[in-house]
Amino acid sequence: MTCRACRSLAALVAGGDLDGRKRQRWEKHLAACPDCRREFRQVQESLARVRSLARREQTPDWPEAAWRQAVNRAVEQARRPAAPASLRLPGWAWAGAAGLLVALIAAGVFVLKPGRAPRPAPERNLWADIILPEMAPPAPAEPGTAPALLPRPAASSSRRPAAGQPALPPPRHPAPTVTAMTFVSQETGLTVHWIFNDAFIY
Amino acid sequence: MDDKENQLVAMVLAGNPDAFEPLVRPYRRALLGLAYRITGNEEDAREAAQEALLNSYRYLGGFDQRRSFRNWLLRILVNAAREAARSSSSNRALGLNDGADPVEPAEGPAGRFERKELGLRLKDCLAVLSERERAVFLLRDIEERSIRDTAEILGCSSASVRVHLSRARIKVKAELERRCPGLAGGGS
Repeated sequence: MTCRACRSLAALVAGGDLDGRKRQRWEKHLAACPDCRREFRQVQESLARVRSLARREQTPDWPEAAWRQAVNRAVEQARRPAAPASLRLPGWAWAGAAGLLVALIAAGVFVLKPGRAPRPAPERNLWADIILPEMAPPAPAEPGTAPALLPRPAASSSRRPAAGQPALPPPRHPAPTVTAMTFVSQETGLTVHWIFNDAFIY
Repeated sequence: MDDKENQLVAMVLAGNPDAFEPLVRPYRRALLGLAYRITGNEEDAREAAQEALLNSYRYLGGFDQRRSFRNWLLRILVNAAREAARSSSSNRALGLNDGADPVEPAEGPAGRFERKELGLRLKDCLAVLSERERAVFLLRDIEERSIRDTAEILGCSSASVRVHLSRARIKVKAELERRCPGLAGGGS
């Protein structure tokens, strides 16, 4: 047995935690090695001092009323119905969701910032392509007004009705420029607003 | 596990919450004492003990009645206390008295001072241990649990406990020697 192995085992022997053949080999080495004997004595004494100090140290105890209260609180809390599985998420998931929510709100505020120049209308607009194939090209959007949906010029429409067929009626509702969705949690009251512009960019 | 504990467990599981208090009462001091040694302060210790009581009641159905109820309870406590120590903003989770906690009424000012000094030095020595080494050292050498009980409480093997215990004792001895040579049995 090496001195290193002997010292490692000495720490166990000092607390009475080694027996059997390993102990016999350790004792044999110790009998022939004064350095390991000294090391062993030091471990024994330091352990005895630590244990003695721990015994002298006063650890706290429960006052009777506090104990009863702690037990009752534990029973009451444990008997409450557990949160639904959907709400039992790790902390990082909630933090991530909160971060995403803040980013969405910030993006929404940025998109709808007052005084911002209206975005040029898209060159091709699906709504106009489908619903308003025959409408004339609109006037350019005036500054400060919401961008109008641009119908596609009739001449370039691939969906133009054939000759002799009646033209499609004008739209009954003006095309929306902003769409907003609001989600409200019935349990937490958390409110999430999603706001999209005409190109469905939130 | 004795018959009385078995009966109490069965009663709690049958829906009688009044049986819970007599079930855990024998461990009342051990719960708070061990939590205190792990967290290093009384406030965190009480929170950890409260959490352990809550979880032991909640998960009593999963307890294997062939095993020791005390070890099962202490295992829950150790986990709660380690969590409390980790989340505690202070750096007091080192295992022994900070000097601000309980005192022995019969002890004079000199004795209190000496004990506080020793506690602080010992606290510094335990700071060199890893979390697992500290838990093993506290359970085996401070709480004086057996190797087997320590392994069961920490959910590891006896061999692992021995390895960590050996390292912990050597480190504590070296730190005691380094910081306060008079304490560490420096005799030749």
